[in-house]
Amino acid sequence: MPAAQQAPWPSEPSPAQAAQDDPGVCPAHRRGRRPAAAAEQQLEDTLASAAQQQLAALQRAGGGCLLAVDRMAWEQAALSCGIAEPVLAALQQGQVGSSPYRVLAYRLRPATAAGTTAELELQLSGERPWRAAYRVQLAPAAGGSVQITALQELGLRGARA
Amino acid sequence: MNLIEVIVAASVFLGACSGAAQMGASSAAAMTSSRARTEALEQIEAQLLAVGPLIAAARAEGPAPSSSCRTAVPWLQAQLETGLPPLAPGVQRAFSVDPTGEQVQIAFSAEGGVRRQRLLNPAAYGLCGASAAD
Repeated sequence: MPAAQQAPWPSEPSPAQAAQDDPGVCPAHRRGRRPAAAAEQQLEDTLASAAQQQLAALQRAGGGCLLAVDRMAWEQAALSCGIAEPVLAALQQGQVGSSPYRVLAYRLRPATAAGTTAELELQLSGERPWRAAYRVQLAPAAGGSVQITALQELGLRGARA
Repeated sequence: MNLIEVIVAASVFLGACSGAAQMGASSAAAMTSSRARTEALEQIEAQLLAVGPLIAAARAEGPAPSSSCRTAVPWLQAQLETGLPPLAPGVQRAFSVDPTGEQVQIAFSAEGGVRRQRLLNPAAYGLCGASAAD
């Protein structure tokens, strides 16, 4: 198993990532961090679309109670949060176009002045199981739900099956 | 060196020059195509990066459209259509609502097989949900 597959996702964006996220930085300076190959860009697009899909599912499910669940604890989290089976299934996996993916984890980060943040980690299923992680900033909403206030890509990496 | 040898040598030389010129032209065309492709990809990347700030700015200017994510979809699409910067010739952009009716699909294409597309969900931009009407 490659070492990269074991390494944790960065909890803070690197300066290069911060520059990439700054709309004032020209594309030529962002290019160094971006995947160059068309195939990788398609994977990045699929995973980015999946992340948005999952945040919507999280919001529909009520959200707040689920924000510290890893791949081994889905059923336990669903039980303690009162999540029904079909909703739980939609929170664990999904599909963008013809590309199925699964949700590896939501990781709640220490609260900051900016509010609650969590990391969402996704992995594509199938022959090219690439992973991506995103930082999500959340605000509490009525009824124990959450509202997403910011979404930032932390990284994309390939992984062998 | 007799006349025949001179003619043959000249023919060989001219043929080699012609081949080299064709290879040079082909290489230049390939470089131009590659540069155009790279520029198209950079433009598309810049557009995708502009989506988040654009929606945040639009939200700051006025109230979020709805507490319903489904009814926020047309608002999101309209903001993207009017707010994203124009593209250079050769790069196309298209917006649509995905079959679920819950997401906007943005698709880019350009010459050389360049194609990217993403699904954008209003929930991911805080446009809907329990407190969206705040």
